[in-house]
Amino acid sequence: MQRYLIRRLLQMIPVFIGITFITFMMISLAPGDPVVSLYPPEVLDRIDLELLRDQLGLNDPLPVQYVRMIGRFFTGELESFQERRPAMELIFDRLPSTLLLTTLAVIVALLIGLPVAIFSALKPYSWFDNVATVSVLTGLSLPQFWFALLLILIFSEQLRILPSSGIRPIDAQTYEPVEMIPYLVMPTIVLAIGLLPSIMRYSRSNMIEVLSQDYVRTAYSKGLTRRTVLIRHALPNAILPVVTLIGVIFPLLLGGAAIVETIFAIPGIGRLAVRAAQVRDLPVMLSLNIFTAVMILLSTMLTDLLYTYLDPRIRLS
Amino acid sequence: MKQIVALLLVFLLTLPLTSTAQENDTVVVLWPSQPDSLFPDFAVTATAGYVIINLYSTLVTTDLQGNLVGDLATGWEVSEDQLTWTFSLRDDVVWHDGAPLTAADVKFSYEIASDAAYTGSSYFADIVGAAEKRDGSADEVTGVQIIDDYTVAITTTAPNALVLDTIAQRYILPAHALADVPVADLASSAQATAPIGTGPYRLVEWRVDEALIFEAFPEYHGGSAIIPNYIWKVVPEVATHYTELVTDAADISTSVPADDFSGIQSEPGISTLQMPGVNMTLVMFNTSSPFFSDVRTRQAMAFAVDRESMIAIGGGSGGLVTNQLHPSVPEHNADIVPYPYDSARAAALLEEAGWRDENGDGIRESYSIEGLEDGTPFSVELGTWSNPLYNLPAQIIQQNLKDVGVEVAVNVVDFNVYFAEYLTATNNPNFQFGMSGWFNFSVPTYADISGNFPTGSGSHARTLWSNVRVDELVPAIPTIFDTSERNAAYYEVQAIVHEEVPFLYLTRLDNLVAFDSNLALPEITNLRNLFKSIPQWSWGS
Repeated sequence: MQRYLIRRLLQMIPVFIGITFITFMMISLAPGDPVVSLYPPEVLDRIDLELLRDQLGLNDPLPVQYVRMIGRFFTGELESFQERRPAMELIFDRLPSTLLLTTLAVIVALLIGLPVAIFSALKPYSWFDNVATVSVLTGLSLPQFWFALLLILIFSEQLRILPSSGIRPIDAQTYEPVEMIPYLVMPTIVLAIGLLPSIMRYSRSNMIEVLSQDYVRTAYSKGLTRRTVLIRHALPNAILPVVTLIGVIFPLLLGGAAIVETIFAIPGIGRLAVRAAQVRDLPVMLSLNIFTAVMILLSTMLTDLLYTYLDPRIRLS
Repeated sequence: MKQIVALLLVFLLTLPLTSTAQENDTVVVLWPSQPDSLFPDFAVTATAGYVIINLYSTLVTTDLQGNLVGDLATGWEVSEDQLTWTFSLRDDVVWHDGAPLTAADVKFSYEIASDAAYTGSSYFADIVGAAEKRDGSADEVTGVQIIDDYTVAITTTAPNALVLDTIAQRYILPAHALADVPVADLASSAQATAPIGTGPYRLVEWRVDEALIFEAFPEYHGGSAIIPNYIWKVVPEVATHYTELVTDAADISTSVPADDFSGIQSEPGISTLQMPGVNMTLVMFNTSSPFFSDVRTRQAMAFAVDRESMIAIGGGSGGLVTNQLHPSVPEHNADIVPYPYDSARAAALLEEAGWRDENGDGIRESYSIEGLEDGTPFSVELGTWSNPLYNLPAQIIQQNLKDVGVEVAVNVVDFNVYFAEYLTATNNPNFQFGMSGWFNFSVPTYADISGNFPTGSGSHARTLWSNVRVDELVPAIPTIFDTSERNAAYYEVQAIVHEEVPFLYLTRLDNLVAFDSNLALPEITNLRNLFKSIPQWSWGS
């Protein structure tokens, strides 16, 4: 087990180098001058661009820049070109909102997706299954930005029961969960709708497969109730692939749900990413990519560990 | 199951009502983004400018009518040689942290801008000693002298009538908080996120990407702001600004999309206001290209373009632009009549210039035009950068010019590329004309002109256009001390440019403001003044 963990952690090193190198090269080799993107055209004449390039280290050879940026990343000194604050600080400022929203969306998607999938699997191609399938496909085909605006139109503008922007009341001093709930309802739903289809389809097909297994038949023939068979015997095996799915989706969402965050004015990482890309803020883009990559690596590792718990047959070696 | 449903229902009913009725002590301003920095020297976005305006003070400032008035200075006089400007400062000005403001702060603010490691925006190259400090041969800027704690004198290298306009742009910084910070580190200093200023509002809390919370500064030298709390609410999706306003979650927005504007005008409890926008669209010609070197060809383009339909696709509310300046400033020449949309005159001018369609393919060819072989089709590339403000009008230009027999390929590039290939390129053979825009109030009015004329003086001067009279007038403007004479020079430059069309000015869409009807605003003529006037806003009954 320990050896497995160490090996996995060591594997992260080449992945890390690959990600940082590709990100760095793609941005650095793009045509044009990064400092020009930072300023509105009108004020460019009043800035000593050459001096600025020098201060930001953009006049050095690319390998030097790359090594310096990675070094600074580890010491926490890698500063945003635009805001001149440590890039990781910018990310951590926004992490709580994104983490909260993402976790809620995954939970809601699981709470809806799993039961529906189980019922569908019990009676495949019944009217319930068909309705569920059609709804899921509809949900999948809804463009997020359109669906979000539709919700705002109905619940904020017409019914006036939910606020359209923000994560808490504008005059709130703290983050009170009760005050935040109305603000989180719509963004959570929009994000969850996007996750539902994969969760439901995966669980449903797995459940159908599991239900036809010998051990399920054995369990029934032992005289166990349907409920016990489903929950004790079938479900744990059926949701294994869903665990993998969440393990991959969750860290990706942490990289920011740019569309949802933008429309509902949630102060999350996605908006930071969009802005960094617009002004070609290389240190921020680099830090974001490293952050997301590390999250994915950690999360897949956790998923693997979780597998050994959920399925004792699996041994890590 | 029933219990759960019941519980849920009860829970839904107890949800707090969402529309937080605005109390009379707070005003919530909606804007799509947050400032990049609150350090005036290093803040570059328009957003930051609109926030900073209420955090800091300048020696002199322009009031809402455009007149120069004292801010930190109670008065000023200029020496007989027109070189030394002596300002007497108010003695009752306090920084947001309680320290008093003195002449040392003024000297500090002007001095750091001349430091060799300074990368902020610089306006003060012509102060005596600034160049020496910049190149390291002097430790201080001799042209900024502290006479006593509340008197400071600024000496320029040459008589300059626009000194006060420049000084009105220079926010004074707190020397006591910044003097120990190395100049190269100023941009990342605490001042950028937790500013100490002398303005009417001070920052209470910056909630990243969410809101900036300000409170009126009770010791403000200009008298405390009327509304005690002001919140800058960041809502990036402008389509929801309408909802924010009608649900009373915010009080004022200048970003309601034009499509929504007629809708919001009929909402009860919402008032609206329209004023000429701070940004305009324009086309610049490479006047050294054989396609556009003839003034008649450029004039033909001006007649050929249907600017009214550009306004229509931009939401229907706006005006035609005839020159580089915002119509609310006194230097703007209002007598210039815009080129009408007249394809027939455009065609006639093209014929006259030697562009005729003799092979009948719908595209004109050159006949005895210098630099082009006879029969060269009038097929050119219009460069523009990816920005919705410019992309749709570029397509209209393409269609309009096709109507007069000119084939245009629109080339949309990243701004970086546009800057390199069009704005600063000296030898890009593909640059025939480019479509972009200009924001007023980003720089002093004179810089709106001097940044574009005469040729070669700035990054936007790539029209390579040269006119003896303009090249003589523009550098002379700062030396004309009589205001009406100086404005006459401004007017003449604008008239010549309009006649010669190195730039084809297109449209200026209106800035649309929607706000709570109970909010009383003073008379406003441009967006910058709207934000500047926040301390004067008040809640009616």
